Amino acid sequence: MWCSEQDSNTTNPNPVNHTFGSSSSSSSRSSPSSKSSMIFPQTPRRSMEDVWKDISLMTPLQNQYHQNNHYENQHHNQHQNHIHLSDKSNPSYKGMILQDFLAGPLNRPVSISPPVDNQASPRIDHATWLPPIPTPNLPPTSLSLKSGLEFGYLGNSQSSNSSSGDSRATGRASGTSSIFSPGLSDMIMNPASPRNIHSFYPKKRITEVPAIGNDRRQRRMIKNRESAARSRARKQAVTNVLEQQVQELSQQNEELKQQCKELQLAIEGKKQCTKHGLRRSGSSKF
Amino acid sequence: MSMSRIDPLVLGNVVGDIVDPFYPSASFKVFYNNKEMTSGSELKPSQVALEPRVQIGGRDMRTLYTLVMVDPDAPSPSNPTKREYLHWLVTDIPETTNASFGNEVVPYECPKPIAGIHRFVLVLFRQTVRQTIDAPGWRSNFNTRDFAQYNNLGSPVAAVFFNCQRENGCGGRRYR
Repeated sequence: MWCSEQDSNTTNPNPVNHTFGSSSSSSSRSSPSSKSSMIFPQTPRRSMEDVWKDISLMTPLQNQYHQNNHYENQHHNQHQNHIHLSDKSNPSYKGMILQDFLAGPLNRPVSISPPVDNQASPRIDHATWLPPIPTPNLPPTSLSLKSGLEFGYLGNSQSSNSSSGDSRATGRASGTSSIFSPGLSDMIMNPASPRNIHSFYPKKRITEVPAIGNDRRQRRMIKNRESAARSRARKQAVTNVLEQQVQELSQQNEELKQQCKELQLAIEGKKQCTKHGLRRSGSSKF
Repeated sequence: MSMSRIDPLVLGNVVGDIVDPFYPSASFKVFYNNKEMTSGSELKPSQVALEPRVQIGGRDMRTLYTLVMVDPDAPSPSNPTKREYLHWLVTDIPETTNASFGNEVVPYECPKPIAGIHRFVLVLFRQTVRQTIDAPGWRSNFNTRDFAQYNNLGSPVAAVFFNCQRENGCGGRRYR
């Protein structure tokens, strides 16, 4: 599926615009799996960049990202196979991300990786892919949250979005570039939906790769998240135990009540008997 | 809300961190200060300062058990570098009796959590024969699974755990 990158390029009927100007170009979303690197027109680039700048919540990250991007762009020019649209059309965001991503988590330039290239429309129904990624719909704010999130996002996309929230840590297929792009555009376009945010949280990957900029904060967040999860688990464990006890005790109670009734009946019965008995045996021998 | 009640051991991640999933087959009650300790409850270090009374139900006094008490969250749950810290190890406990009838290989050490809320797990194994088990050289980084395997104890037959934090509460973060 992913391997068709370059081929898909040619076969793709959609205009080249898509990946980049997600916001601007209408075709972005709809383009079926422009997997491979697309040639991106110059125009969308600006809008993307602008949008990204507006979105950026973490300036240091962004700065870093830009720097890295530029560097990477040149570097990645060599590998035209993948995603590279970014080089030409969009110096700052695309292409390299995938490359970097492939290179390994530690190399990742920035948390803002999702801008990744193409807008392989999320709606793409690649035969290979499962339903479109909900993940691309991350709100812009989520970008700033953590590199981990993005990492997850990337991973997601790469793993062909087969599972919206699952951590497919190893989906490093090269052809996933297309997957990324929709995410970016979507991210910009769509407001956050909690569901999407949620999809990242269960990912274990979040613990890797904090952004270079806000290491401590992100690590702290991760730790806090884990600690919160532990706390919830504790709470639930206590609740479960209590529920169980309640159930057992209620059952015992019922049984005891039943026994009580029966015993009372038995007593009543006996009383009746003794009454008669008393009458009968009233006289003594004399 | 919860359709199927999940075992507190699973919820508390005891199953997974310390033991593998097992089928409980022994009646096992732990009493601290004459109060039965329910799995997952929270106790204070002052309440668990002395060793508990561990009651093993059953009928055959010839069956022997081994009891292990570990703290998988030492020194802190978010950074358990000393997982698991061995607090107590008693072997050859006859069924129907309590731990004082067994052989205390590693004496009871009172839980002293400093950072975070620790889980303290008591795991019970059924011995096949009366066996001598050597104490490990140190309490830290004990591994219950390996220990069981090494001594041919098999799967655990029972386990309970409780949570414990600093006496004054706030086992919360002290540093970044």
